[in-house]
Amino acid sequence: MEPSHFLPGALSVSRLIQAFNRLPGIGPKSAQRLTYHLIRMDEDEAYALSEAIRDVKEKIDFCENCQNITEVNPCAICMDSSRDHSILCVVEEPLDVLALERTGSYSGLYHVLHGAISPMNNVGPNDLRLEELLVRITTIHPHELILATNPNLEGEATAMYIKELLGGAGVTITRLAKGLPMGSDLEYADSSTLSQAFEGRREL
Amino acid sequence: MPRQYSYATEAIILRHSAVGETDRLVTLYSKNYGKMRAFARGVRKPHSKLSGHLEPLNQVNLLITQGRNLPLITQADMIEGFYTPSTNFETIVSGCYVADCLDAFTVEEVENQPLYSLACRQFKQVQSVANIQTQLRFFELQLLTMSGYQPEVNVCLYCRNPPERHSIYFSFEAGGILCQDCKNQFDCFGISETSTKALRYLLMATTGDAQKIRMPEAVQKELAHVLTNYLQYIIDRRLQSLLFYRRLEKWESTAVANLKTISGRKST
Repeated sequence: MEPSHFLPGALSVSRLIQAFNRLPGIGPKSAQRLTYHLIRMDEDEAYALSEAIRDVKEKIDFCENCQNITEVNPCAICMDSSRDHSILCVVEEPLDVLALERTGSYSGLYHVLHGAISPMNNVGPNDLRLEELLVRITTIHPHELILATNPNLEGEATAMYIKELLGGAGVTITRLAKGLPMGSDLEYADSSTLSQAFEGRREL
Repeated sequence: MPRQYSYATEAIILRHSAVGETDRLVTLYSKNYGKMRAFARGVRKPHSKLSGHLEPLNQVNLLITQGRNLPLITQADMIEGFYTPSTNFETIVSGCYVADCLDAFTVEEVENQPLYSLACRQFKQVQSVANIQTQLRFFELQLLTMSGYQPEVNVCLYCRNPPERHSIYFSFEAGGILCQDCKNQFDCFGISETSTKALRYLLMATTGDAQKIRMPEAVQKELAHVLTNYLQYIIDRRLQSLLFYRRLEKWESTAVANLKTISGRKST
């Protein structure tokens, strides 16, 4: 039996629907809507989209130092001499670099792991860019290593593993502060977050 | 237990997975309704009131309402969080193994309050005990017993006679030990007398007593081999947390050892 999106005599439409359907969070109906939107779109806009996809696949590479996605290797952040090269901030995903850069309060270098250790999903250190991190630490000898993995089970496991691995490597290992997010309610905060917020309190 | 449209229960969060932009599908083991899967809407938003409470390995009070397809978690309040200042990588990995076993060994909607209590105790124990591996072996035996798979470790399962001291065999298929004369009746392998004694002790022990036993490393390894493989034989699949542990050991023995040599650090 043919799939529901098969259109006789319009194989390209079916192919595009299938391609969209393979993307995360896009179901068959959304894939059909996107396809028919593209059919109605201006030719220039549609070609710009296809070129953007081609460019991403052709030009994007992983930085040989920080493993972030980049078009030039090493990436602009690693090559920036105005940044503090003695501090390394370890994050899980490239999008975390964007989030930290938006704050404007960090001027050191990054290292992107491309994931986090997850014992229940059998994601171990060998699935991450952890070996590259260890090589980097042994070569550039940073003064401080900031573990900015997510404050959840996987992020904590990753941070603790890195800490135990580098315990005697002569680098100061720090973790991003934990506490209450701006705009939240004390009443609804969990006890673990509250106790960590108390531990990390500061004099005003 | 009959359910209303909206009901409260104590539960342990076993795992969760991301759904859509901000939701999560949470697998939990509840005190009153056994294992369940429930939706938690909007918990991946930074200001979510539920997110901190619904982290895996936490013990929580939940208010659940019936959704169209799956139940919805509408309120959560942490009873006991897994993370304490003493939490380290080994406790997280052990906690994940306990949660993975519980998830693999139970079916949805079947209440088992003793098992719930055992799991709550184990999450606390792995945080505080000196020998986590012994505690995990105790948990495995208790889980097997409460699920109806307690291994026979006193007499041969086939002839019902106590086996000779130096010729004891364990069979996953039979679910316990066999003697020299009956070992050909089932697929089996040899097990030491010390390990058999340790199994007997752990089967009779209470949560507090489990730590009193001191075992040589070889016995610990043999017990881990017997029990983890017996668990996997029963559920008929590999536990992801065990595969993780084996891959971790392999990685540490190769990649990390090489790097430690480069950096001139002593291998741990």
